Amino acid sequence: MDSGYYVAAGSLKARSFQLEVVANNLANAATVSYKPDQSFFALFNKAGGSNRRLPLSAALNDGVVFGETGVVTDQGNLRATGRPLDLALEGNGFLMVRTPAGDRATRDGRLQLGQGGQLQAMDGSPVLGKNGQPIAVDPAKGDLSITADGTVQQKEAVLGQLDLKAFEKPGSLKRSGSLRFDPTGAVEAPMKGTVAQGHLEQSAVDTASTMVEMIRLNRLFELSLKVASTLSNDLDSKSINDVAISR
Amino acid sequence: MMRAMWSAAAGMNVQQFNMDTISNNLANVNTTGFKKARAEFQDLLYQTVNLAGTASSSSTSIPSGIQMGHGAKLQSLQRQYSTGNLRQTSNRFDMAIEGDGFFKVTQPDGTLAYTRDGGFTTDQNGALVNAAGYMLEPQITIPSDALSVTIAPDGTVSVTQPGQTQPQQVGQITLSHFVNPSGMNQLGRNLMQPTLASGDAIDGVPGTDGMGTVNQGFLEVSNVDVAEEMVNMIIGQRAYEANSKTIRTVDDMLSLLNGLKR
Repeated sequence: MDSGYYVAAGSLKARSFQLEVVANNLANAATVSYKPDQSFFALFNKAGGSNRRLPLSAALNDGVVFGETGVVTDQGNLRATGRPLDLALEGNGFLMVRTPAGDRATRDGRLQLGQGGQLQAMDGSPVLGKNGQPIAVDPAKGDLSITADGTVQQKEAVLGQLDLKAFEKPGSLKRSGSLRFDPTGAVEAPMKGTVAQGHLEQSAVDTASTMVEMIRLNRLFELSLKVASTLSNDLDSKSINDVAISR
Repeated sequence: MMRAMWSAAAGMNVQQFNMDTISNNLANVNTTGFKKARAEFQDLLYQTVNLAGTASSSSTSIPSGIQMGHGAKLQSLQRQYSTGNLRQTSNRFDMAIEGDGFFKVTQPDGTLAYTRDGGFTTDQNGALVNAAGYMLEPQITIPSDALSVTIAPDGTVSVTQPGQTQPQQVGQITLSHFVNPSGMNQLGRNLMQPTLASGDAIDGVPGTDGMGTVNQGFLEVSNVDVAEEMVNMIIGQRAYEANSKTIRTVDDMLSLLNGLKR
């Protein structure tokens, strides 16, 4: 088979992966605090790193592969909800929640009060304070206020401070679903940001540019397909049916 | 590529739930004591195709890896217990709670239910009942010859009777509140029941321990904000549309692939 055929097939595969990333981003276009994924492609040189480079041209050995996905950590828009237990994070901070699988970082600030007034995420996982312990609120003692630095207080009584963490290279944090990231192995960075009570951070997916990306990848897919089709339907069939014809 | 199609289908599915919630909110825009709900979404679990940190050669490692998402899911319906506007009705048994708390009524099967709907009236014996005839708990009976009824902000109910100059106290309304009212079970008919998630009811006198006050002659209208619901509806519709475009793109690409072989 012509090596160009594999280059085209590699491109088709890479675009299929890209479409899966785009589809997931669009499915979460209205998910609070969702951060989109970005696709990265790499040049694949099958002769690279070895001395098997063909004498004709190095370009003949190149193809595209789907390299990696990275989290785009752009700030989402803030929407005012007026609910005192809705928090939006501005800046690079993450809230910490304790799940059965370990502590997780999240930008999702939709909180609720659980049994005993514990500050919890929507699925009941406790939200951690600076001391690594959950924060308990007494609902009978009046309205809860959470200041810009994450201090949780009721009237004048300070109940604790939310554990806000930031990480080096947040784009390579491992996702664990439910808008959470697994911070295991990530290096902590200085936290620069504030907490806005009564607000929620909207999805950071830009629908317009995601649509453009989808149209573009669709066309690139079509393009690679034309290459594959030319090679197999035109060139190869010519060789098979016309050149190798036995009289 | 089928993963992309399923992600888009999951995205459309959550937007349908979103629309269901919005339409229920809008349908209850004039329901006394109604609390709006909000559909909460999360991203689904990720399939790790290539783990970040895996060695790509003897001295280098992959910085980001590949994680493929599978769309969005509905996590919960969060009810928002902000106080709705108070509407003056001048009906002497109408009550609105300003602040936290619920009225308590006894259902026909004897169990208690909780409500923000303060549209009460009296039954044939003079007892305070809600629109469905469920007795307010604790029970309060208004004497048939009462000239006027006063319900104070702290919940004391007093009446003046013919020939008396001093009002007589005939009962005390208590309110109940919950640690997590969003966790309550919705029974319909403006009634709610506590669950494990909401915690047990904490009873108290209006105006004390964070409990709201009772306003006679007012009703609390629904806290649904029509403008906000309309904006949410537009966002939901566009998100639904974007996901349908994904499905069309996948379909186009698959059909192109099928056309590859002549």
